[in-house]
Amino acid sequence: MRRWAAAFLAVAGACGGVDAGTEQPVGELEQDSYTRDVHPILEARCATLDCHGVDDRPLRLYSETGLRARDDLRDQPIERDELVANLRAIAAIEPGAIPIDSLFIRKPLAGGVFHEGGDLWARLDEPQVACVLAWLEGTSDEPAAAEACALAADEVALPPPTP
Amino acid sequence: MRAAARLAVSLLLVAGCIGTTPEEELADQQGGDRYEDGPIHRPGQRCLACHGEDYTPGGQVFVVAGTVYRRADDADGLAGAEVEVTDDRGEVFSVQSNQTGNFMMSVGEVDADRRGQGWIGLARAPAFPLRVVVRYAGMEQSMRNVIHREGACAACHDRAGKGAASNGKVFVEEAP
Repeated sequence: MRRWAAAFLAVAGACGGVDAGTEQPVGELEQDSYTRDVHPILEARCATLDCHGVDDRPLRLYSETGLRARDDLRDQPIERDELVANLRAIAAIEPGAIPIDSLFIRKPLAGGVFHEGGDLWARLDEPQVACVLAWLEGTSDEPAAAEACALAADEVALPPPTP
Repeated sequence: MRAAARLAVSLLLVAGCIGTTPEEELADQQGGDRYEDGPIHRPGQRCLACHGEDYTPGGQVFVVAGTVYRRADDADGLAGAEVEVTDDRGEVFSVQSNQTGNFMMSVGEVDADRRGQGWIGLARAPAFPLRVVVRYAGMEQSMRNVIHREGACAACHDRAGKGAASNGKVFVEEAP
């Protein structure tokens, strides 16, 4: 009976979507530098509707041009709740991991862990990954991080929406 | 008897997960088609559902394919729109939409009887990510973000309109 019940739950779980939930703590990830520095990188490189902007994909990410939390948010600026949901998704990948060894860094980095979306960054010293790593390490305010994030911002800037 | 009932319930659950083909799924979601098979059929639907690398009952594999509309709320596609795709190598591919607004790009030469029907053959597969611009009669729309890997425009541009997971139809003219 237990085995049948386990199989039932496994099948039912496979059919259902993933709910990131809204009650989990964000942990130590800093929100302001995420919004300012990191989210634009993720929006351009990760969060499109054909990658992590998918509701039931691991590391589901909301963004202005990608997945929205509600239908009526399409064409609207990103909302705080969506950014917080992104933080929760990131924090849930590998709680307690050392940033430089974390899947969040190693999957998109060449030579790291297999990533369905391919290699986004060739080296750790590239501005985008340096900026993301500094945020994970809580050093976004240091000059080197600020410089990396400024360079990354130029690289990933999206054109403004049509008026 | 109870074991048989459990088996039946389990099979029904599994069938619910994997029991539909892409064609059935599209038909359920978006209805049938009023056009005959070929480059003009199923406008607005997810072309690579049946013309993708993994599943090709349509016989042709497209790398990028979709439907252009003049305005986002138009019911019918727009003929003669230019779709320009720039890949990660900087190569530019351009094709004009056909009479139902469809366009498609495949690798290799297009059969002679299909040329000029919104279909272009590429010498090699484009390198993702892709940037896309659509033009018609002096109007132009550019995708703000890139396509990372999905070649079927309708996967992210549902003809049912805008929503949480859809940017709405591909269009060239803003509504007045």
